[in-house]
Amino acid sequence: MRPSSPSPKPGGDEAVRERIIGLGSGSARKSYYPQLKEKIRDLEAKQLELMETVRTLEERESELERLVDEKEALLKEVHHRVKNNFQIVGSLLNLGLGIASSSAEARAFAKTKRRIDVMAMVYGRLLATESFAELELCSLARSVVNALFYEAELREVALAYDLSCVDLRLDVERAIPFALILAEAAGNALEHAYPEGRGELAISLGFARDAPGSVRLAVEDDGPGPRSGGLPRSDSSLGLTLIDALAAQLKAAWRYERRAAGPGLRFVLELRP
Amino acid sequence: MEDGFVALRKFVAPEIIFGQGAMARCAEYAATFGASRPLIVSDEGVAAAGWAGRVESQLGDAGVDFTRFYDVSPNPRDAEVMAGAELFLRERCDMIIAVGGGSPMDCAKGIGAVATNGGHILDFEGVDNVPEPMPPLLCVPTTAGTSADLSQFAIILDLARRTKIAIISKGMVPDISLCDPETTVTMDAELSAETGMDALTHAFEAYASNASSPLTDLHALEATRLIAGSLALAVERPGDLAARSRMMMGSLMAGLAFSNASLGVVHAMAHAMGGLLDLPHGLCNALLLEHAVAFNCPAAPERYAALGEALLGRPLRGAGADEVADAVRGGLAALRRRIGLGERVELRPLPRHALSELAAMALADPCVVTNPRRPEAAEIEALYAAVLPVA
Repeated sequence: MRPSSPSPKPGGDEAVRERIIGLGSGSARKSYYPQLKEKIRDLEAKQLELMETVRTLEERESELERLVDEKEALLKEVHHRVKNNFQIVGSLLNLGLGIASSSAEARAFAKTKRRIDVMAMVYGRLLATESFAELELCSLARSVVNALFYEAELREVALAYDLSCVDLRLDVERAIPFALILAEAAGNALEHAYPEGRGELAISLGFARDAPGSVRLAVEDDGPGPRSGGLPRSDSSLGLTLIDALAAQLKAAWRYERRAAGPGLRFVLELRP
Repeated sequence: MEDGFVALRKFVAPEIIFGQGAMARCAEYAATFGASRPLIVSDEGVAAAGWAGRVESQLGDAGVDFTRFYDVSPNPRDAEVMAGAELFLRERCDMIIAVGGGSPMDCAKGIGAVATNGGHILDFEGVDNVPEPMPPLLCVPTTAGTSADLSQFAIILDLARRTKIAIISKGMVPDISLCDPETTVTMDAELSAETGMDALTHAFEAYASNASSPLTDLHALEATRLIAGSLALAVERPGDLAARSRMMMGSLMAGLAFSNASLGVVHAMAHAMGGLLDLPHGLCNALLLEHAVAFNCPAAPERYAALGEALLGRPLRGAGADEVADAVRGGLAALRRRIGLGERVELRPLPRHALSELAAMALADPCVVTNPRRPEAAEIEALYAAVLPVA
């Protein structure tokens, strides 16, 4: 047991007495209210802060949306102008066609015009679908071949499609070479495979079963085949040179082969994954 | 003495429900305070008497989860308060329900102060040192004496120093007191006598206090009348609910009086003595009161005359200070003997220097500042010598 020293009474007995009977400063009965008020104030400040953050984010989002809209409008405008330019070039070529001095010259104009039209078509489809990044391949293939087919006026040639294009899309950089290659192959068939004006042109497009991930395009006619007997090669015409160059752009392989069932030629393009 | 009707005064009290069935309101108040997990603070004696269980089942019936803290000894220790506060925080309690006498209720107040303010319970010693209000505190007193359910006082035993510290703060006034006289019928004669004398001492010291006021006087005198008329009956016939109810009302009024007028030298001395010798608080008061009256009477004879009239039921005003002192002292001694309390503390004799240590502690106690007569250390030692055996 150790004696405790008397604790000093600050301010003396009178001050202690005042505080015990509740008259000292700060000796009021305490309340939760100030603490609650402070908590509520804190929460309200936090809520305001959060609302401000949300407002800022909303503003930023609508600004981004506005920018995206603006970009889309600009892109659309650019594509529109490109398409118009192609159409102007096409019209110029049309004029040239009208004043060509020889049939060979006229054919050259016509072929060039056809290529320009294909490129204009790609941009036309981009504008129509409003998807400026990618194009769906099957409908593009159908449009390209249909245009050539109706221009060729081969009423007794049947046109058959076997297109299976779930999720088959190409960006515009690659859609143009693809469309041009298809137009060259189909144009060649329509020009050379039906001397009698009869037969069938079969277009197939889809994932290759024997090469996983590869997309295979085939253009097959049932015509008499090459006159000289050899299969067309990359150096045998401007069209084939073009196909070769465009396929290289796509890092794709192409070939002509004989049709399996009877006479006729088959053009095959393989786009690797 | 200043004019109590002119002087600036304050009166602080909890919400009080008094009467049979009061304790059945526990669950209702838990709901009022939005409590989802009250901490029930009680002790083994009160639990054995069935009162803590009664509160538990009322909360259970109302679907209120609760946590128990029953590890409270008579004269609650600082370590018990800290353990209770730790439990309160760990169990995420949000209200305190104290069931019992002064020990569980003082412990509950300490738990509340630490739970809200952090730190150690001994840091809050003194007046107005509890900065933040404690969680809602509901008290169900089961003795008619302590009035911890009403007062701004909490007395905690500092075990290292073997002294009781007083925490006095308006923030220690409980929110609700449910005074149900039925809870006091399980007290034995000794506890009834000691707690009853504690209540009477509250009334006496509040009335004689130099900080008394008309509001506290009213309660102090009526408390004296009620206790004088019913304490012996309550001790002799424990099941007498009428006597128990009067005792509880007397204790309640004495509590309202002393919580606001504070106390005097008896409590200052009882805190020191109870802390050093681990004696029942009521017994210390019961033995000291009559000697303190004799000491104080010359400083406030009219006050003691009024107390004597309330105690004895006969006129004393106009009598001389000595006559008043003798009459009141005699009345208190008669009551003390009738309820079976001895003349002195039965202990091995204490060394002489123990009295001066006790006197120093009593003089440092905040209760001494409102005593009507400022005591010297030697005078306090003499008062101690009247009740303590000295070698």
